[in-house]
Amino acid sequence: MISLRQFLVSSKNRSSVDPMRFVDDVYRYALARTGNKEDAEDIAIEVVHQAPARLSGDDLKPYMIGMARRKIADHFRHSARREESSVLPELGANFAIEQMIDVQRALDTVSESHRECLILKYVNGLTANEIATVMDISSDAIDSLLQRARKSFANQWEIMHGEEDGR
Amino acid sequence: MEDRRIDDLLSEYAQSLGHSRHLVPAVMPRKVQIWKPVLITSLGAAAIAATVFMPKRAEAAPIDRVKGALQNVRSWTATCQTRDQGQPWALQYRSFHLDGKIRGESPVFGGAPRTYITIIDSDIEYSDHSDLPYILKSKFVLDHRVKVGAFSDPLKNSLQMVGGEMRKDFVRTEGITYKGNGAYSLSLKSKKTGKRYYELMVQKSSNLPLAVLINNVNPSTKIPFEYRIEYSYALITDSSLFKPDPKKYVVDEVADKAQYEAEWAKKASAPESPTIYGSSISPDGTIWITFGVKDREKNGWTPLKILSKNYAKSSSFLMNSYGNSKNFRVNGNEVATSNYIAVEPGATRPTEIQVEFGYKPAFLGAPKDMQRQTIKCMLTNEKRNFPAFFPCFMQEIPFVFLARNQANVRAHGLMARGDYLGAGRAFEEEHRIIREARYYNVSNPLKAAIGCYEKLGMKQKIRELRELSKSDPKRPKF
Repeated sequence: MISLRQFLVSSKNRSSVDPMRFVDDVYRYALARTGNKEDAEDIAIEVVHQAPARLSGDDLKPYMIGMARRKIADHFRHSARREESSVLPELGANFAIEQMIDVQRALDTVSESHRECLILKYVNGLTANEIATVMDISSDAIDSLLQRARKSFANQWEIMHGEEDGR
Repeated sequence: MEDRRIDDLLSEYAQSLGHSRHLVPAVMPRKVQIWKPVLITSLGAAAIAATVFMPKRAEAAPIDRVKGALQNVRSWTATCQTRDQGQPWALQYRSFHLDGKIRGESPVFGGAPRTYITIIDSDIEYSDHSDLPYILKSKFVLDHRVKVGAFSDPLKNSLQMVGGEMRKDFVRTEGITYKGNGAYSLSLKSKKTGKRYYELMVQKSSNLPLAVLINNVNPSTKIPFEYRIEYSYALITDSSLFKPDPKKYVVDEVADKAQYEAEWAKKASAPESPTIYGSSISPDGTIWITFGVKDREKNGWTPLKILSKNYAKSSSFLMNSYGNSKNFRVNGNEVATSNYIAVEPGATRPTEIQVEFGYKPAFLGAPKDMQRQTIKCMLTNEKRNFPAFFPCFMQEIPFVFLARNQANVRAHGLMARGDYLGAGRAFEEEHRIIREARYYNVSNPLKAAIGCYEKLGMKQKIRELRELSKSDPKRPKF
């Protein structure tokens, strides 16, 4: 497997709609889902490499995240590790914030569709329509799904932290 | 739990995921330099500029004339200002140069407002960090590379910002007046867009650079920004500008860390009760509780709250061995520090507090079933607004994060009390910090401040903030 750096060098002369634009989006999505930097980078490389150049910038990002989603599903299917995020992500900052680990824990405990919906909204900043495209559900259902996901996250957070975090 | 709190938590989480490590250069454990914040951005921008704007043909003469004029200069001063598109100019650094000695002053360090001074005398660089809280001994090395650096002359400096001296196809424009001086300009234009992105204003009578104007795009935020560096050549006569005080605030992180480790190792640790390594209060009223936990991911005692109405819980930090990503442990315990923000700073300054700890057998345990213990902690006084041991355990203390978090926690605390005016002001403060540090995509405290002022019917204030919000650069959507 080539490193992302090598890949960046070799992909300099690729098409004008450059999938590299969204490599960080794919990486962050994959990291939030897998909790493993190496896996996230591998998935990001594969997705960027296989992304079609003909799509417009608006369509390409959700398309690439959709590709990452399928790859992650394959990844877990073929991996001995069945549970997503069983390893807490190494945080990007050079200091570890326990609160962020708690957020990851709370995300781990909500249902898969809720977790995914929250990651797509907050980590990837996708719009409701884009989330609908990635998750392959109707855009009408997204608002209520997101609302339920937030409620479920809040419940989990309160269970973990008790009333002291009631601010 | 409020929706806004959920937004904040998840936005911070997204932020903490960062980027691929291959895309972001690692922080090198070397001496911190005054120009670091500016230079890192500049070099990134320069790399982009070098890629996008390729040279077309060499036309070196006008630049050589400026280089020749600079050879006779023994004293000069540079003032660098930057601004994001549509924003007011902000001072990034000033530097004074006299016979090879350099003094640099930066009022913004790592995104946080504080003065940082570097003095370079001959081949040696000293740091006299006026407001910088500390410098690590390992980073406090004599740096012999500075003389060949970008700051040895203004032209080299500015050219390096847009891709080194490889561009020589300058367009010369005559008949310009720059701040009262007869001048001509040497500019570089983008081959692709035809837009001018580098302009050197040169004094006609002396061929010395008066100013450099650069338009670029911030490589991380993708927001267009401008540089303006102005030069003056009056002889500097104040020699005290170049006298360093190098030992000020030097922290010997190796020796200090060993001392803390030995001290913490003496504390008894038992599974049935929390292990507390220290409790302190900093000048801004923030309380820090340092504790150890055997197995944080599965179970362990962590502080839940302190029994004071004036304090709200903020983030916790795990200590790591300096330069090592593994979390620091003493007798098998991970060392963590929780901090509590004074909702009303200055209202009280406690000397002791009651801390309620909770034992989390697993993170799914319901709060009512959680085993709890309340422990009285005496507070020692910190000299600065962070625990004295932080420099030994953190590669870089996240000052901007701390300041922003403090304002955010305070705002939520005040809002919970129904003090919407105070909360609105605290959100505004958070917005100011975010804007100064250019963290545009973290959260939207201005919106939260408007929400607070709406409750009070402060229409004028709401209008002002909406206007301000319009000028706030947003992270572009691709």
